[in-house]
Parts: sequence; structure tokens; C-alpha cells
Amino acid sequence: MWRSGVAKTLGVLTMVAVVVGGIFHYMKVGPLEVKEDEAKEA
Amino acid sequence: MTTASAPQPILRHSHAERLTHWAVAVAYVALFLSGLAMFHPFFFWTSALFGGAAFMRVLHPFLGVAFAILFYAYALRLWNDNKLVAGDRAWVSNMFKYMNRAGKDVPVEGKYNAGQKLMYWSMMVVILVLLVSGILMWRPYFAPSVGVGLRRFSNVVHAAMAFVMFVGIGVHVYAAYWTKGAMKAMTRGTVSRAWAKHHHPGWYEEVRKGSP
Repeated sequence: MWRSGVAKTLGVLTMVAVVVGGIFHYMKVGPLEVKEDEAKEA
Repeated sequence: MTTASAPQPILRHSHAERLTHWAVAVAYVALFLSGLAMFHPFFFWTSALFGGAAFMRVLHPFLGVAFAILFYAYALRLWNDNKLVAGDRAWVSNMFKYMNRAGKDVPVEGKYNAGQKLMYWSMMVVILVLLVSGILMWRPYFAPSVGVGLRRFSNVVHAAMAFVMFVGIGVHVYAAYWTKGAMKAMTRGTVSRAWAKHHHPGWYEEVRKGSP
């Protein structure tokens, strides 16, 4: 698997998937923000 | 402009921590780009960024050693804050809910949440393996005195760990971008009180009591 290059290609595809996954996650969930109003309680 | 009534921000990362962190980051990018060219032919073009494959091949191991020294100099300072505590188990169990902003967050006891701690400990191990496997195949200095079998094994382990590192650092960078205020904490050094109370209530209480 290593010598044939399959493992490396799978590795590259997974790295690309991590980047694409991050973009999709941001599109779906949006940024993790804190309302500064909480400062009054703090 | 800061008004008199505005709550004072809290120092999260000192000057030394931030400088070391960004030095590690720069070294990582250079290592990653030079390593990619050797990882897969598809990325061979990145060698041009280093003046060609020959020089890049020479530079990569030196960058690796510099990176490891900088990383451990940085990481050892954070050792105590990354010790695992009982509450981390609950955080990990609710990690996907946290990522999807579903349900209530599990309160974080210390300066770092369990996800950050897992990243910390995994990088401690991964970078050590990368360093050792890299040294074993470093020509012309060490590789000639290492057996062919061990060199080949090191090659596979090095590539596998580099892959794990890319995924880990990718998640780390994304998490820092996703969590608004985290990037400012690593550039300016401070976070708002609301941010500290929301993300790291245990640490916030320690700071408030004056024993960070």
C-alpha cells in the first residue's frame, strides 16, 4: 500500500478533506462568539 | 478607545509565549511546505519556494531541529496548564455538541479545554517521533550509520506522523479562527472578561482571585 503510493494519495485526499471540512463547518455553524454583555455579569 | 467603565481585558498569553508560538508557527509552515514536496509528487512545486529541490532537501532537517527546539521550549512552559483533570472526560464526551453549538457547554476547569490538551499531548508525542525518525534518515550525518531497514521504517513513520501533524495543526488553526477572540489572544495577548468567563470559567475564577 505504501510502495504503490495509495497510502500517500489517501493522505493527500484526507488533508484536502480536513480543509474542506473546516469550510463546511464554518458555513453550517458560524463563528463561536461571546456576547460582550456577559461582561456585566463578569 | 477604552472608557473608564469598560472592564479591563485579561492577559492570556505573555510576550514570550506569543513570540515563541509564532516562531514555532513560521518554522512549521517552512517545514510543512518543504516536507510536502517530498511527501507527494503532486506538491513537488513547493520546492521552488526554497530555491530548488537540492537546497530544500538540505534545509528541511535543519528546520526540523529548530522547530523541535522552539516547540519544546514553548510547550514545556505550558506543561502544568495542560495536565489532564477529571472534568476533561465530560468535555470530550460533549465535544461534538460543542462543535455544533448544540446544548450547554461543559464548563472548562483550567486555562485550556480538553480538546486543547489532547492537541498538546498528541503534538508532544508526534513531534518527538518526527524528530527521531528524521534524524535516523538525515544524510549525510546520521543515515549512513543506520541500517537500511530502520531507515525505511523511519521514512514511513516520518510521513505518517507528518500527516497526523498536518491534520492536528489544521484543526488547531481552524479552531483558533472559529473561536472569535482566540486569534487576538495570540497576537495582542489579551481576552475580554466575558470571553474568559464563557470559554474558561475555571481559569477566569483563578485570575479573578489573583492566582492564575
